[in-house]
Amino acid sequence: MKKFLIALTILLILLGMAAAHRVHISSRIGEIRVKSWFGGGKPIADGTVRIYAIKDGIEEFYLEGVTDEKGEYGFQPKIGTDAYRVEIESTDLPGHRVEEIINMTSMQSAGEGIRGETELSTYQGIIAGLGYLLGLAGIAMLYLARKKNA
Amino acid sequence: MVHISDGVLSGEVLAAGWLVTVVALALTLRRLRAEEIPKLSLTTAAFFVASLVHVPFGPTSVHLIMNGLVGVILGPLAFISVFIGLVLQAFLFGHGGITVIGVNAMNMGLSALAAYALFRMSKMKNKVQVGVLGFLAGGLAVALAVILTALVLFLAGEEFTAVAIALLIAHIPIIIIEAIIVGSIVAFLLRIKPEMLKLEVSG
Repeated sequence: MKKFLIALTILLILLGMAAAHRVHISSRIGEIRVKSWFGGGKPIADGTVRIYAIKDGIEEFYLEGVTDEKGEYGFQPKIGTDAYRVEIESTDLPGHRVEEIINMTSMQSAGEGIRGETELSTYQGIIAGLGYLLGLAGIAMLYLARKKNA
Repeated sequence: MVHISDGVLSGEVLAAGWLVTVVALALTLRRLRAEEIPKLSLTTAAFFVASLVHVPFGPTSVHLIMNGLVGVILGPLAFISVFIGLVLQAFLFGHGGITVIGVNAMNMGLSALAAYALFRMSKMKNKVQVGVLGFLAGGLAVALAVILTALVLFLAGEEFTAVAIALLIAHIPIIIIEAIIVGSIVAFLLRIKPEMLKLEVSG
């Protein structure tokens, strides 16, 4: 039973983490605009944008551009495209890249179509992180105590 | 900003990073004692939250890393702390990619261990020397993490010298800030709770 509880706790932790994954791109229907920013909220200016159009599961390169000083980039939709894969890479800090799939079908059915802004607030993130740490410390102490008693 | 994102590195580099991380975790987890868990958790919490302290620098924004502090306080257990902290940062704050956690943990964890190795040179020294070594360890951990990150990006096809210089320049304020923070914390701990540093200090 205890093993099951530990396994369940670990599973819940993993599920919680997966749900909390956040991306740094938002997009809007009309002209499609993407916005990217670093962790602290500073826009990724002059970032290289690469857009790939996906139709019937086949992906092909669509266009390339550069973000403005607000970290934004706009492009015209291509008729008949199911989804776009957008990559934005910082030119100032190598190794920093964000990627997001914009699904046109779900965007249209959602009306306004703003995505990527459902992340946790910073404070929620901090509290969640401290909660995880407390939980992990508890699990580790339980494990070590059981090992000692065995 | 030594957190590399997803999609930048090749599969081989990612696998190598995970391999180093798993081996380092396996080796250091065996040293974990129950009485050290509160210290480990608190230091990890500091490391996890420190990444939210941003310093605007030129066209970019860099944040504190604090792997030097983790190394100095936790010693060999630093790798566990860095790994857990990075997992939480990646999932909760979007700092660095998920598949890259192995590589990022390797870069920041090994640097933390190097900072610890440098700091341990302070054995049997006086308080001033310990404080200075804390200062140097704090700066070294960040600089080393940056160099390792540049090396990994070089393996991904980037030009090493240019990337290393770009990252190092962006991190100059962080290297200085963290050196001061770690030096100050070491000096403070020496005064109020020297046993935390496990050093034999004279004078």
